[in-house]
Amino acid sequence: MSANVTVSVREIQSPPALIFEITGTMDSSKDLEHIAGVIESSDKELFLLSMSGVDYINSAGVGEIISISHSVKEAGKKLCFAGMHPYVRGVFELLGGHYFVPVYDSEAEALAAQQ
Amino acid sequence: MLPRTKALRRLRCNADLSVILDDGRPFSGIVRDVSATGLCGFIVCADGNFGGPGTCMEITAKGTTRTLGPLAAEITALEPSYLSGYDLVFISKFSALDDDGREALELFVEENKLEPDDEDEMDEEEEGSLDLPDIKNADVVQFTFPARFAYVAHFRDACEKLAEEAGFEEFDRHMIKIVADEVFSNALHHGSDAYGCSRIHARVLVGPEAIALCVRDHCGRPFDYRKYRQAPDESAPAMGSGLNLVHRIVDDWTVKIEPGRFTEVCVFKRKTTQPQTAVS
Repeated sequence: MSANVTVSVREIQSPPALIFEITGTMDSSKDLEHIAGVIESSDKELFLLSMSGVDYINSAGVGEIISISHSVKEAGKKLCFAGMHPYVRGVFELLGGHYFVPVYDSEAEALAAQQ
Repeated sequence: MLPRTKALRRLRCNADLSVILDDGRPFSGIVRDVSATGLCGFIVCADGNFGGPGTCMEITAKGTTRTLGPLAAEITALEPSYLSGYDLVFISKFSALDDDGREALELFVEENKLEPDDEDEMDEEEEGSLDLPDIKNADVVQFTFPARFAYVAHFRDACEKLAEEAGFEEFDRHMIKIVADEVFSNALHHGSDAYGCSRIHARVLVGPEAIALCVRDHCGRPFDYRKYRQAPDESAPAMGSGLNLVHRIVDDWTVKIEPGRFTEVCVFKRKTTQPQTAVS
């Protein structure tokens, strides 16, 4: 994992999901390797990436997110995002990331949409 | 302001090259870059049968007055040549270099290295490929960075700072930072140490209403940049393509490629006059 990114994970029961809280600068295609591994080995069906602590993302970071979304989809699971800083969300959408992963304004909104 | 960096891991050299592979076949070519651990060379090998990574060989380089080697080395990377007249470019690492060998190497490099001015450095008179009235009489800030990803953040932060000093709003500054990141990263992908290119040159032109960033690598490896001018959509998303992101952000951008010499990407962005949301 990049030294510029930290990830903490918590589990919720309703709906059953893992929530990853990401903080830092996502400027490498290796920043979320750790998350990909956790998702792959998890028996949960829903994963939420809480991005409110991410202050910067570039195309490498978006590319990695899209790559993870493919893996999640292939495994028949769901991935969504919440709380992106407007600039981060802007870059994400400029690169077409929102075609792959739904983005919600808040964690509560994201989870409600999955009920 | 970041200082110009002259300390390089690799030095560009100009010398004749002879290679004998471990199966006894001889090849000739030129030395491109030399470092303490290996060298990058271009060779003539019309059938492409030069082995691959792991192939052992003996290298001899003939400079102006001094001959280096033969040195035992191993191929670490091999690609089609981007210099005309040569078929392959290889990167090698020396297998064993004792103190005498290191000293001989240093003397050889000192005698045959190309000075920075020989390396298509950007100069004031050559204003890049963009010729726009908004950027005439702009302040020009030049940078030289080692061609390593560790320096991407330095460049993008410097560009953001320059944009701030020029009065760009926060949204514009963030976009300029991203563009600087992507253009510099692109230069590294096409002209990094792995291809024997040791430096990235950048020039930032800061005008009262616009900013231009020109970033040049010194490999000049051709690539098809036209596809990045298409906007991503549901059927063909950009998939993390840096230049596609650049295309979506800036007002104009150009690519200038001199095969074997340099590739330069110039981007141009005016100040936005209205408050922006992040998504266009």
